[in-house]
Amino acid sequence: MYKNRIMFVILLLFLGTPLISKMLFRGKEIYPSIVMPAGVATLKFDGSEMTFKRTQLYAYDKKSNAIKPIDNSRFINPIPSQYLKHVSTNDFGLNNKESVAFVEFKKWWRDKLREQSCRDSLFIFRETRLSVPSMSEKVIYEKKYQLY
Amino acid sequence: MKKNINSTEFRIAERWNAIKAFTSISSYGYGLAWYRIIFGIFFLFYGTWYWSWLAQIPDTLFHPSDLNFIGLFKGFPPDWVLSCADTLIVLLLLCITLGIKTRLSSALTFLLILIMNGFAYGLGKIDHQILTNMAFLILAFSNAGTKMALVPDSLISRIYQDRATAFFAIAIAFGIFSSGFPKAVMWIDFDFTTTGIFRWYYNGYYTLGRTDLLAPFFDEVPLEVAEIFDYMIPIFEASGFFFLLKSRKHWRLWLWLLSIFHLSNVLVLNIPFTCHIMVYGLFLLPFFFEKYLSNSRKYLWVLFALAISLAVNHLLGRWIYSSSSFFQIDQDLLISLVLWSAMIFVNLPYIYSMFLRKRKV
Repeated sequence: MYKNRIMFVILLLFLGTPLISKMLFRGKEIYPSIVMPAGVATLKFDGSEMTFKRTQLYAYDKKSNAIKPIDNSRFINPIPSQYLKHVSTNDFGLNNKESVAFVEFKKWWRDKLREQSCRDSLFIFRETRLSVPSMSEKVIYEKKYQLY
Repeated sequence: MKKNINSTEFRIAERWNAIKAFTSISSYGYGLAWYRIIFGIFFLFYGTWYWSWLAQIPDTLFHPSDLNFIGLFKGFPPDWVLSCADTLIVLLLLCITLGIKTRLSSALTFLLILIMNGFAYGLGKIDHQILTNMAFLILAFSNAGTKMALVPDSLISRIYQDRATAFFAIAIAFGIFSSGFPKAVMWIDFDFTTTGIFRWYYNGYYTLGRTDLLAPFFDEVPLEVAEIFDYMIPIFEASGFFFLLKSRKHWRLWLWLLSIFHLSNVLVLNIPFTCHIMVYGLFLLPFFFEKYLSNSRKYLWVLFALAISLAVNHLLGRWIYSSSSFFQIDQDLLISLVLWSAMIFVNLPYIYSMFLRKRKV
């Protein structure tokens, strides 16, 4: 007698719970669930410029020794480029010096730097505030990763 | 009270039956079988899953979100599991394309992708391929493998297929709603000094290197126009259920408009989401194939040979070079552009005849 209502409620819970969880508890996304990326953040326009946060990796050029931006996607490849933020949150796997893979992973990042004609001793993770159209940039967070 | 309960029960049943009717796909013709073949070739050509790259990632980067079931494990799978999964996915896709026990192959593919993608999401971010994955599950409940198949499935009652496609339509409508509703809450603010669409644009342009096609020109769009986009996009994304409950032709119209939306994302934001072509294609393509291909066997063996070649390309790459494929297939934005454009074009006659053509009195 109540079959349809029960099924409706179950469906509502199955679909709605992950969405509510994601909206109310930032970052608590259930997997698997039927939830698509929303990307709700907005930018503020102050009358002449828009400012937004930008993430970029830097390293020292092998020839000129100057700091230069490197290709983020190529650096963390084969990890997909959209995972950069999450990889950086875990310090590019370099925060657990006791782990067996630590030495091997340092070598991996060094190889990645050499691929982009950079010195392999360190790379820099920077979060900046970039303003358009003036293209002025202000560093808000920076962390250096030594590889030797 | 009893009358109210019965009328609620009746209304829910009525809506459910309507959704089943609006989303049903004929199993009597060959359209669904052709969809199955094109579906398999599409994923063998463009977007075949490959997980062995996880072997290069140490467990120090294994940080799944708290609500990812993969958190039950302590790290990424061992190399041999990844290699087996990579081989299995290619063989299963080939089985689906050739019609070898399609139901079983589809169900196994769904489970394999669900679990292995879960491990990939162990890096801390959940990508959103769930609708693509669900398409395999829906195929497992359909009669797509009963015709033009080397080892055909037995025909099952239309009831099960209709339920599966109805549920899939609800999942698509809800999935897109889940993208639109949170945006509507934040973007529809009647404040011309804030913008949501530009946030997507600038983040992609300056951080993710999305600078192709029309991306360099989107910067010129006035803020007032961007504000209109900020209202239109979430409203459109959240409107799936309205179209789904209206009629079959409205449901197809919404999917067709969604294809245009994805095409504009390719052009401006360089976000392909190409795998969704086959998701919406379940409702948009079978009737097209039925009309223009029907039971023609002319192209069948060519397509089967193509599928086998693509599968061999992937297997050789995975066994010999530890790479996704032997000959790398560049999954270019241009391919995505062509495919979305084709999706829009092939459905244009239907949309025109249903909505725009003046009917003779």
